[in-house]
Amino acid sequence: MVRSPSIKQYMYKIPATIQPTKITALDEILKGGIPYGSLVLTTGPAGGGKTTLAQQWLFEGARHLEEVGLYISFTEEIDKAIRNIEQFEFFDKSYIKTGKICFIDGRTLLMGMPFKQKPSFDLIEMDQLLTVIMNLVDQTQAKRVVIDSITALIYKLEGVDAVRSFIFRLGYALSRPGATVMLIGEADLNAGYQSPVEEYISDAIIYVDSGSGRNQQMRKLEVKKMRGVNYRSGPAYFEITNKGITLYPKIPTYGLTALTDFKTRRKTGIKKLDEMMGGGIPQGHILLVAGNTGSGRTTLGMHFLEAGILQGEAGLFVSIDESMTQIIKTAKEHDWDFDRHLKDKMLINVPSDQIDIYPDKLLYQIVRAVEDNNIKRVVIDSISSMESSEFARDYVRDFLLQLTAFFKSRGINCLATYLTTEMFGAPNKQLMGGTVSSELQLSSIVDGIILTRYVERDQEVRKLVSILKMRGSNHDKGIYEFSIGKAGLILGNQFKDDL
Amino acid sequence: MSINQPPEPPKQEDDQLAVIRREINIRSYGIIKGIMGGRIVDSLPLRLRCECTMPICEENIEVSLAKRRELRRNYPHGFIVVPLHAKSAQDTTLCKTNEFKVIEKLNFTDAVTDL
Repeated sequence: MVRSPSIKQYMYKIPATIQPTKITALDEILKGGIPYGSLVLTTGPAGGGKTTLAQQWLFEGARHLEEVGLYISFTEEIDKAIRNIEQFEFFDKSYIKTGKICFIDGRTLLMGMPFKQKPSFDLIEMDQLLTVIMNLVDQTQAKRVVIDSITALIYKLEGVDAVRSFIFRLGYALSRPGATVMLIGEADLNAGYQSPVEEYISDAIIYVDSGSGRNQQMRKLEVKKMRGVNYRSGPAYFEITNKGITLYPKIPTYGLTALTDFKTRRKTGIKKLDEMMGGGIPQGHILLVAGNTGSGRTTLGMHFLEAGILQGEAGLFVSIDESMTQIIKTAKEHDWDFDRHLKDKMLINVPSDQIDIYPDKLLYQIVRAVEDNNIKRVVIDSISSMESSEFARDYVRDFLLQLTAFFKSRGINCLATYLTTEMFGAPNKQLMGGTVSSELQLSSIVDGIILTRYVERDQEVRKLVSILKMRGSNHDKGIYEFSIGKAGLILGNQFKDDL
Repeated sequence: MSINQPPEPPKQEDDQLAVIRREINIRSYGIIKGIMGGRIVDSLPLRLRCECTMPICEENIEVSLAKRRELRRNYPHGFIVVPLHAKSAQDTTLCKTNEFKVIEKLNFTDAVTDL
């Protein structure tokens, strides 16, 4: 299993009574897993990923814990169910051949009963079904049972009492030998229908949902109930790829200790800028580099990474605005060999979809990259692109809060670029012009703000840089002209407004 | 009912429930055998649903497959029930443990073939 990065920070002992799901990051959300013998209702609308989640749960259990799994389908032919999951990496045919995982057509469990001709089950048919399932668990010693779907069965049961009785007895009969049962249910909270009876009786409810981005499906999973587990609440986004389900849980921001150190400074590689900051960026500080388009934000970020790499500090470039290929070409213009750095793993790139940005996925990828590569310097280019992405807009602040907490706990420095909306910042001597961090109030989250902007003087456009904020550290309040050349950013004299 | 009155004779429809429940157990085993083939293990449990006549009964009896086979062989007319579900006045107890009783019913003496 690929362990979620932040789990290292919150390592806890998993009691023997807890059954790890062994699905990446789901165990982190569940703080270890599901109590053995639980009746788990996995519910949500069609296409949410319920069946994939359940099937992956079975295969991961067999692979990592040698636990026998039962998949009982009441909705589709077994051959078809198997064909549908053959594409996933978690699928292993040998588990089916050796009986580690049994796929069973639920309709055969009622052989000899005239149920097929009847619109509903009577108590006897229900009894037989329960007895067969119970006996299957007895004889296979299954620890994981999936019933797909309970909704299909409930349609055959008459009245709420019958549904309640069936689910209760099922849970009781299977929990005794310690089997965890996952019932697949159908519900769509957005459409206003749910499964109240199943929800009340189940020990746990996992809700999976799918929404639409502009060019991809946006899925989310939320644990709504888990008796006996202090799970992490709130939705977590996930993707279904050939690996199966990959979850991107949020990073807890509480309990992290900031490793900010004002004595240890990281140089940007721009001598004068470092001097303006009192010798570089204090370790653990997160800086916003705000500025107009083309005003040198990205170049400043590249400068910062290159300076670190020269000192043996690995860097991470999160490219949202431009492709890494483009960044490599730009860097080459300054004689910075980012291509070589990438090959040497001194520079790591985390790319992002530019239209539908999954903030939680990006966060997860960043954290993974940082932990796997001992990253000390990060550049996110740019935060404003996330803000302009329809899907991610509401999450930028959360994203930055989590990331800041995480970086600080590792003593990492991050420069996040931000595109300001005002093109020119110095009309009529109003040099403080320029929207720095919009209504999202990002400025209160970050430790420092470097502002780059244009000013028109003497029939030409000049570039200016200033430090608006540097938390806990004195800094030069002056405004300096700068230019971008072969060697990168070159700071000039202090800007004197002679208008 | 007065204490001097004779006990109520067993109702055949009540007993019918026990027959159905026994039939469910037998049929369930057939299905399991069909699914698992040669992988059935004697030493593992094969729980029985209680074969009593109580209208609402959700009890299961935990016995190994080997034990269950032995009970069926020794008591082919018997019904395996949890001890408290045996109606002592109407049923004849053939065998009892802490977990179950095997009882015989006056109206149903057909031998069953199980396992």
